[in-house]
Amino acid sequence: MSRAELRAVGLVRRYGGLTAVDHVDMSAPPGLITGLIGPNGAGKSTVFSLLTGVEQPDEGAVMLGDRDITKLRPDKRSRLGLVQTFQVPSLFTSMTVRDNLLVGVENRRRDYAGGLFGRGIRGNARHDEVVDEMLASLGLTDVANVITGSLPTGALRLAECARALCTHPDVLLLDEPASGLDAAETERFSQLLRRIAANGVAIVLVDHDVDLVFTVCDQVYAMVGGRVVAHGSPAAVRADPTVQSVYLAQGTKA
Amino acid sequence: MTAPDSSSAAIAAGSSASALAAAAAAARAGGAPAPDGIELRLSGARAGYGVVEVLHGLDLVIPSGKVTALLGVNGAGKSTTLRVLAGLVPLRSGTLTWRDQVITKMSTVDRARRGLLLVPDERAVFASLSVRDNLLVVAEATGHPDITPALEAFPKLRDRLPQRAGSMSGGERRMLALARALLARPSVLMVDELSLGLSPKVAAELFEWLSTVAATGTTVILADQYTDAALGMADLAYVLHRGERSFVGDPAELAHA
Amino acid sequence: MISVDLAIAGLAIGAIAALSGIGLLVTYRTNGVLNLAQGGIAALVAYVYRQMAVEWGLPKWLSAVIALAILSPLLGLLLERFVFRPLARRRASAAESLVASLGVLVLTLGMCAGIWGLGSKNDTPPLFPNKSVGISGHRIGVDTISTLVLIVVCCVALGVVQNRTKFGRQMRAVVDDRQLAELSSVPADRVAAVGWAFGTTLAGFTGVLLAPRLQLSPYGLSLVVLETFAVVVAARLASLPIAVFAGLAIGILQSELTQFKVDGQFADVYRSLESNLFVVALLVLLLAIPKLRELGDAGSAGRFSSRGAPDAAGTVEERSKDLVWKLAGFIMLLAPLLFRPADLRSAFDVPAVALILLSMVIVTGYSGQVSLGVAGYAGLGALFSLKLANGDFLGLPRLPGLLAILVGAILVAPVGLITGYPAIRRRGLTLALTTFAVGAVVSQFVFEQPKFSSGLYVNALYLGGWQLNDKAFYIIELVGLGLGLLAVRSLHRGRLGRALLAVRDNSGGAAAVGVDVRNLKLIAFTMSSVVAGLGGALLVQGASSFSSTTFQPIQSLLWFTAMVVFGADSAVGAIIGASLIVAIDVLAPSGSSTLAIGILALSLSWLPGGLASAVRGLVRFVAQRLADQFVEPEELPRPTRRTPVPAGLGAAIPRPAVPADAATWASQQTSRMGDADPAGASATAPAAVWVSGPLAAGTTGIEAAERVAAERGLTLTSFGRALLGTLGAGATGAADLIPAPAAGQVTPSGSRPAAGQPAGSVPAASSSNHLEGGRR
Repeated sequence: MSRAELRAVGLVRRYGGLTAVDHVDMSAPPGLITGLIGPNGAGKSTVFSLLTGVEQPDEGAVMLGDRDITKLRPDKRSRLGLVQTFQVPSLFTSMTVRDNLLVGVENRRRDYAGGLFGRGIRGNARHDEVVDEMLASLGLTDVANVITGSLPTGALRLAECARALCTHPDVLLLDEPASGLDAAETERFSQLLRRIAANGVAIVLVDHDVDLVFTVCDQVYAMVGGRVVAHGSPAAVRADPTVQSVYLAQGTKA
Repeated sequence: MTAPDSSSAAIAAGSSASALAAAAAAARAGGAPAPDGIELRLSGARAGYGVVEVLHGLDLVIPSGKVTALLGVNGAGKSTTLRVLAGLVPLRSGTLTWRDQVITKMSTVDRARRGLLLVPDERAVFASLSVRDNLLVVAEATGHPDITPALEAFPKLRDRLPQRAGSMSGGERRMLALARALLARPSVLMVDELSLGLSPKVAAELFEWLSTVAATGTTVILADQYTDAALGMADLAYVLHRGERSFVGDPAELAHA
Repeated sequence: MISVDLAIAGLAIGAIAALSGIGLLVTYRTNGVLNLAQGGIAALVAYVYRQMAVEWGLPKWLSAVIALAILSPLLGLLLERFVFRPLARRRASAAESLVASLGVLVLTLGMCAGIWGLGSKNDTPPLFPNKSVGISGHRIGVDTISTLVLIVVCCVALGVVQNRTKFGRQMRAVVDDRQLAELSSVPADRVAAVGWAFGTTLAGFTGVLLAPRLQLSPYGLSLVVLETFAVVVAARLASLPIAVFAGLAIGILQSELTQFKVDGQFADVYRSLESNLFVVALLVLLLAIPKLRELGDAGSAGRFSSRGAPDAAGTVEERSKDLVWKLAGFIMLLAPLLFRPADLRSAFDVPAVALILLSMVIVTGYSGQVSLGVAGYAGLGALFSLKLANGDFLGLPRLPGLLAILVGAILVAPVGLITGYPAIRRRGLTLALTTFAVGAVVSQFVFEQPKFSSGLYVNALYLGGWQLNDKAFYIIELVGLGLGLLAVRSLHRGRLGRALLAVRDNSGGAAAVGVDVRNLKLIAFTMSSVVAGLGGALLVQGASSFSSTTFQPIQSLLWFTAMVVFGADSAVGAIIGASLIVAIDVLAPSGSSTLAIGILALSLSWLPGGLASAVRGLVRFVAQRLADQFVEPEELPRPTRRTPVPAGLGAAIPRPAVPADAATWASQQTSRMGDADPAGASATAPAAVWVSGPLAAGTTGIEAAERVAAERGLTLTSFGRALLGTLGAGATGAADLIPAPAAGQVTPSGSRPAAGQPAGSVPAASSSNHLEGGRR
């Protein structure tokens, strides 16, 4: 079953006189991990917000497959298969890990009124199955009934990722998923990402950890000053002179 | 947003670093190291937020005039430890001694006045105030309303004086935060997550600046995850794990592990 | 068209509003607290002023000096020191500050009502001489001039201080980030205290200036002051000059309106507009400005959990297990059936008020929205049901009483839906003010209109030809409450409940996984309005008369505060709260329940989670003790699963060496509902160890509590331990009879007991290690 590709076409976002994002074109094809790097203020967070629907572009369009989703709110985009995770893990902190995942499974429909008349109170057995499988698959079974508010960062990242996967996404947008993780955890997390992509999900990854981006991604976009200055395989982007000069100078020293 | 090179080039190397070192030396309150070589001693510290206890009886000794690194993953208790030292989070049990004085109950303001200074990880500048006012507030509060030492250390700020601090880039804000700390004439400077949200290049430069401050004999405490840079400049390293100490010793040992 | 004389008349009231606005803004900017108690403080100061000048016969100037120069600033300093400083210290959420300021409002109103009664006094001497000066043929009052001069002085002084002085810079620094200011050696408490003292002083002026113009009554005066919030909203909570301008402009406009005559159907509405322009302006401005410049985290969705944060009680399912708490509510509800007739009649209010509180539990407790307009919905429910019963509602046929109550409540739904729309985009303070304005507008333009609310008769109820006696009516009320509880239940269980909880916990995260946040908020608002409408209808039926004062806007604030105090996300809390309010009102002098709620609300400053959570903790503790003694260990509350070996993210993610697992994952992704490969699943799940059995066998009180804490991934604080220790010693002697477990026995393999901790606390220390234990 083929999945949709996420494309950004000529995105522009201005704040007052400042052009934070200047005609950015991007594409995230199914099954590939697309990285987005750039120094602070380069506009990568803004691009991310435009892709998730938290912000609206002044010009340009966001396409999911053949569908123009530029004007859609984040929850609508999510129901269409474009799901994000946050820089600060945004789990529902008063709920258990299992309930968090259930929310992910349950909200592709939105007929909430049914719940008012007693439907769905007992829950959907198929939903429970999906959640059980996801928990087992990511090794979260042991913490299934733990309130997420008390989990350490590593587990939170994993649970948030599991919750996003429960929506059965076509595209997964990850905002600095490795922050707060140590080296070993980051390594395992990137293995997880590879597995997810292998199943045909398009992943977009924004992170400061250049090592992570260059090792795990299939293609990388480098932004400076609101524009894409380099795009291609990790090796090609790493070798790009502009990227070298503004972003990786420290690499020679360490 | 500003171009990245403008923020990263802001810290001039070499010549101004030495000017800065001189300024820092002149500004420093204490000067002489503590008689027994111990600046701060935290013993049996329990602290937390609401019903959650974050530190479970932590013991720390911070040597005077040295750089101490507090390392660990997010949630290990690094920030809470610094906040306890700064007085933002009260101790539920345990004591904090600064040189020979018990300061467990001393307020944040009093600690800051006496030179125990924390640069927090986020929101470290007054975003709605101009750069000048950001500097002046600290300078006035500590009784030396002169902001030139900060401008000498970070010449880039001179052009930004009327600008609202909130409109600056992340790197510039960090810089302003450090400049403010400098004006407070710290005898103990605590910096939380210096590298957070910064590109590696800018972070590396700020670490370099911090080592010049340390070279003047100021006691420096760093909480960081960016272990390479932090370990590189530290004399002593603690690794925290879930609110307890899991390693203490020579940073070199950690680097090899 | 502009009449100068009318403008001058309007200027008087406009200037007072501007003055109030300046006070509010300064307090807000220095403390981040929008002082909803401004009206209560104004009333209190005005009462004290009147007491001294009229009752004690002190000279007017002396009374004024004592009230305005000593009492008013002192109130501000006290509030800062004992209520808001503790909140700021622990970085309380904006929601908590809001509740605290509501608590102060309720407390001051309770004091006024308790000491001086709810009746109005019209003999407050005017502060300034009742004279006027002529300026080119127009007379302008000395009080108006004085107020204007006061405004100019305040503005100029503030402007100079703020921009030219060291203190001003410190003020702005504190406004920007209080903690950072303290880290920068700025004495933030002093700045905050000055801000409070300034604000309450102007509140005092507002009260003393308004009292002679209006009738002095606690609710009346504070409502007028609350209406001046239009001024700060116009200023978007930021600009002083705009606030002053808005105050004067609305005052003048309101006065100018009186020169026009509107006849016909809208005559009454127009008349109301002339005296209520501030309320209308408040609502219109709030609808026009979706985003005020709120400080701090005010924009984030409020958490009104009675269980502290992070929410210790956890899942939806677990909540329903608070049996003892529920039992208490049940007994309180049934007890009145045994009362004497007169007492039973006073208990009529209990289920009705409980429904009203319950309606706010839906909106505030479950979906995290502030709603300060509940009295509006309740009043509409009452009005609709009476109209239906009398047969004059929009041409609908006359309905039998019971049906009219039900249909009347349901007819509130469209109103709830419409007023829910603004709530979609508004949060925090903005939402709180919007809902308050809706309630106030409904009150002034519907309940206060003779056209709508006169000639409403409350008829006796019949069921199948039998007239219901008191006992039967009370049972009907209980059925109504039952319906409300069912609605609430459906809202917090299953998919809908999870989705609502998700929105409350993290609306961004909820939207990210497809939860339709907008629809959910609308559902919550609509449901809430119906439940409130039902409560209002029953309230009026029980009281046998419709009175607009029952549903006045201030009442919303009282009810909201009560709801938070008794546990915002607890349906049973609503019932217990209603019982206590009604009981106190019956047994104690008027105003006592208001006073009690105010005091309880302020306890939130010291006890995160409020008194309700303390009581709940006690109840749970006692229940635990009972359970320990009477129930087999295996049946104890859910044990914590413990992973014995390191299960960090490391173990959490299956090793790539297990191919079965990857296959599972792949098949699941492609077929979604496909059967899992059980081998793959179990291969990755470390064996779980159930530790509660042996541990539960021997527990002292502290250990029991610690176990409960551990199950929730928490660690008891030393304070909690000490508190429980004291309680436990007196609560039972049975603990001694149960042998304590040997230290090693309960230690899960792989985690070492921390030295110096009691054996029972070992799980507490290790329980949160599920995923990170291995990195030592």
